[in-house]
Amino acid sequence: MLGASLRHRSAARRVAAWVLAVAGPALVGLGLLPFRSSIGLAALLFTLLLPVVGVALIGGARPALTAVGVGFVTAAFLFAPPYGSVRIHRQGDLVAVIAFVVVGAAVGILVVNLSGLADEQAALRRLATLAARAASPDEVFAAVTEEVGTLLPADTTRLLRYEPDGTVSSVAGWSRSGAHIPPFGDRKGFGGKSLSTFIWQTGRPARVDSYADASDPVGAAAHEEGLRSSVGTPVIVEGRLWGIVVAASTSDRRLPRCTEARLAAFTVLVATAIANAESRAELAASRARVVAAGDETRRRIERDLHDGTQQRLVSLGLELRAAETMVPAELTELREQLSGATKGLGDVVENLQEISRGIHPAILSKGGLGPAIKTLARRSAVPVQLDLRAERRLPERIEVAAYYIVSEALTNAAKHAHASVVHVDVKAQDAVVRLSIRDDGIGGADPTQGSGLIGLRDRVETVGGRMEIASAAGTGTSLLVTIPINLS
Amino acid sequence: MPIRLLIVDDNAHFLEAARRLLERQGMTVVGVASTTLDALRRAEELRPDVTLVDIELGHESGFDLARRLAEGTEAHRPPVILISAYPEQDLADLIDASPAVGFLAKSGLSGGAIFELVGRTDKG
Repeated sequence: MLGASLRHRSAARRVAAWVLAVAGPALVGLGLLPFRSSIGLAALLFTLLLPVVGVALIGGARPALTAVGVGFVTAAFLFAPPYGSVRIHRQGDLVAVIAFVVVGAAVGILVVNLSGLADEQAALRRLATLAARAASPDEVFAAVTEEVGTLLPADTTRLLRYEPDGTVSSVAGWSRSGAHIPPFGDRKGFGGKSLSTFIWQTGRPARVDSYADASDPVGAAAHEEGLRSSVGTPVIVEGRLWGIVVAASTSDRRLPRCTEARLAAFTVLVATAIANAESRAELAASRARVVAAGDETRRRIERDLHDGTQQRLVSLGLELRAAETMVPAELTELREQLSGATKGLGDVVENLQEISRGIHPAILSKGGLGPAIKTLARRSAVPVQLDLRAERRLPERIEVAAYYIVSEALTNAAKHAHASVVHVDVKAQDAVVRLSIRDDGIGGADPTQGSGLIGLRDRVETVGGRMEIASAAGTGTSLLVTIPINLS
Repeated sequence: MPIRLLIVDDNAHFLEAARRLLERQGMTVVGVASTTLDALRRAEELRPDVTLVDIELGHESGFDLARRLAEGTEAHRPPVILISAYPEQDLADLIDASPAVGFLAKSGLSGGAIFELVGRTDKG
């Protein structure tokens, strides 16, 4: 149940509500006074419901009930004989006025509840939208503490997270005074008389009405902040206790009994946002692992081919040529046969080199990004203008990603764009690799079509990078990629 | 006077096959080595006319060895020819940046090719 006391109002609104509660019914009575004989008491009472509803909307239950009271006095004083006194002589008038008080109070409280419910639904909808559009968990956490604080009569709200080392940390906070609620500088132990302990033990909402004798660090911190009455509800993420949402007041006033239930609706959203973020992170990590495993396999196959098969074939070729030199001059046929075999072997070796290069370019593992891109540029079917500032070696997965992006872009420029020149800029400076590949071709490349561009985007994203494509028809295609160099 | 060669490669098959072929073609293989350290020691001790260095020496880099050989000692700075089972175009930028006098693909290794590379440097 949503009580009037649960509504948070700004100070100005509160003042306006009280002014309207007192002045509204009185003004209605005075305004209708000239028509007293024609409209009668019932019409006045009906009209008096208007300020009651208005006050309930902006000020909550207490001002609304006050408006009912002022309305009662106004009606009795001005419209029920004897006029000028609160006494009511006629029994019919008395019944009408009592009915007004009952109906007015009921309408006022109903309006307050409905508008509270609407506020709460609006807050939940805002948070759900935030969570659904994949905002970062931190953003959702901050928004949740703010919405909860605004909606409940709390002075501060916090989102606490249970850490694996048996402590809690504060991941977001809000205060009514607007004071910055700092996250705990450190993790705090729990185990004494604190919400963290009770909820950890029961997995259920809990309430603490005084931190004066708190015996654990988290409780002591709450006491130091001046918290008196606090309510916390557990955030359960996929069956495990993740943390708690805490609403607290710094005054003597206890938080209303329905606080637990109202907090619960928000903790579900927090849990959903966390679960979403966790699955997104897991998905990204697993995608990166799949790509890394693929790259590693290709690198290994290339190595094995090169170190094993290729080297052996090359040695065999040398042996054949050595044997050829030993053939007596008169055995022309044998010499020709050996020569043919040597040549055939040479072709096989070349063929294998071609395959190896496609699997993984040797220059990349041996020379790094700079030499590898130069090699790509030299081999490109479309002339390349290269601006290369990438001297140092980078983590392998980043080198591989950058190499494939440039390689694919050059292939596209030659195959689809009918370009006559491609500008390739590669800069590995500070903590970021920037690739820019611009051609002067026909443009119109569509990343949503089954082009290599989708594969490129996947590659870029697995190393945490971003890719922008501009490819309006007739203006060429330009590809901008930034990849953070995360050395860990 | 035959050219005196030192061959550095970590592949025993290749060392054997290359030695046999090059000697047939009139070169003298004065020694072989399969690690950087071994190669530097042999070069110092044998004073070859040319050292053939494989670009890959297991975990070591033939480019590094070529650089160290080229820095050499005052008395002896033998020309280095890089060799590899990779074709030259695959590693062209790294080969260009190295102080080696040239590159020979292993499959195209021959006394004539070595002679040509060294002869060219002598003249130039």
